[in-house]
Amino acid sequence: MSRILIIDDNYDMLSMLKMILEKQGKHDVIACTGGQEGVEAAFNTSPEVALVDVMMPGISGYEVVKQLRADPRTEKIGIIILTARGQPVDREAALASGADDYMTKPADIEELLKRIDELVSRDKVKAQLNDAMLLPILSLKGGVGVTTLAINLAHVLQQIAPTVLLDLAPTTGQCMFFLGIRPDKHWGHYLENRDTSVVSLVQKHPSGLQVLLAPPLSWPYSWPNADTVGAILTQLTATTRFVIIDMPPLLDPTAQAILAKAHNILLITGDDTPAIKMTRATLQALQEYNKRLLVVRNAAAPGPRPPAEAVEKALRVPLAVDIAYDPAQITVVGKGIPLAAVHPKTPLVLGMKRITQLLLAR
Amino acid sequence: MQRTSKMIAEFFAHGYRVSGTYVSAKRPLADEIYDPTTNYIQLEEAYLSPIMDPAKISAYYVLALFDKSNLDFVLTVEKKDGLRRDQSYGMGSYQVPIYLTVPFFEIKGHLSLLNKNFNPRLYLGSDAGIFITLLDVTARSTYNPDVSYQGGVALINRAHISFFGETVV
Repeated sequence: MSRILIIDDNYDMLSMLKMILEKQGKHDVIACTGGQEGVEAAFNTSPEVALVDVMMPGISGYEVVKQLRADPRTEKIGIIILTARGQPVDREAALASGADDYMTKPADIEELLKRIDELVSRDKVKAQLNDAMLLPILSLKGGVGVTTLAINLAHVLQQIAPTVLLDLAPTTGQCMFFLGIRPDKHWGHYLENRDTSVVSLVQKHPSGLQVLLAPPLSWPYSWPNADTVGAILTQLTATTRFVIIDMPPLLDPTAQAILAKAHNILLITGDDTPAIKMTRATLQALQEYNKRLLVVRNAAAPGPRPPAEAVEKALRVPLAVDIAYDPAQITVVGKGIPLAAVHPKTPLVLGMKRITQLLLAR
Repeated sequence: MQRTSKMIAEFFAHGYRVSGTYVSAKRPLADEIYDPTTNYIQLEEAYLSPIMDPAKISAYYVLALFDKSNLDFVLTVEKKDGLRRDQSYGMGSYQVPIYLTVPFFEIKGHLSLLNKNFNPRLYLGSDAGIFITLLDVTARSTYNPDVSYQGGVALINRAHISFFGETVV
């Protein structure tokens, strides 16, 4: 499944393409009826592929392509010009504007899906070399094991490709305590001095895990805004394959901007009623991202659990992964070691491996 | 023959290219173009480009009218979109290759005729409507020969034809 942006002023065409790409192509589709609106949507949502009509009121499709290519956030996305202007001169103009491909309307749907897949595959290969997958892990209710899961997932992914764990807690992150690392370097130093290289602030844990810590409680600088977090992520993604973000329990504009950029979002729920209710509310608030959301139930404490079916019924979404209570976790937390580094076959670590499989299959 | 309710065609006149949507639900584009009782054709969403920079969209109009007598030619990519209703049931079996010029363009295509005895003078001088239907068309810009337009049908204004020749098969 890929994120596809369609920009077309013809509402009928837009609806038809959206339906086909969602149902037949299994893609996550963002639809815009205007050129400028489409450019903004592309900047905010980082689609893999954009289908752009040429003839639109306001700015033309060619201008849209030029703006997308000129911005670092969208310069690498796949772009297909889809237009009723089907003359050779139009094809030349489309490719000259920076589009990767060109199709005339009415487009052959099978051919369109094939070309989208080709562009996505090309971009995935590029991404493996250049870009990172952003994966925020979130729960608006504390105590469900977000930091534990973030640390262990980062450790599992580190075995596959370079991974950075980013602790984004606005007030004293917990990763430093879980991993036993002194906060000598953290992203607060970047807020203090924007010339600081973010990568130089990443610390390496003895287990091999790379982590960018949150500032300690005494640090005077406040929670960064969306642009600042964007700059931090840009630097991290330039040098790594996966960025796992231990998200604070917030849905403010900064958190929303991160979620908008994310390739997938792990939403963590627990076994108790408040956790399930909060997850249900979070799902409603994050409706626009529902195709990128993976809901994971984690038993952070021992005790009876409601059946998974009951939780799914309450949440009205399936659980991607259901992790049983793992007594081994308590034995390592005081030692500053990720569970995945020492007990690779316990329930929690197997759950992280299952999440990894799901992420890589997407 | 199945017709869609809207279609896009290319209209060329006075050094401009206009890509416009014609609502063909009531009558086919060619019937509207050929109709001697109307002077104008109405387009929705018309995008205007100068012939010298034909991919550049220099203006957009939600609604536009064309004076049919000022059109040089109209081009449709799909053949079915450019035929009159009567032509859609069948055309002549004799194909006559034609080369002609209108302002800013030289056009190649073929006429579909019932009679193999083709006389260009009689054909152009007949009163069978102010437009003629040319099939499988390539229109090349006179001032920019690298730019060409291809279509299943071109409806060409007889009055704007300055050169009309039958080419060797």
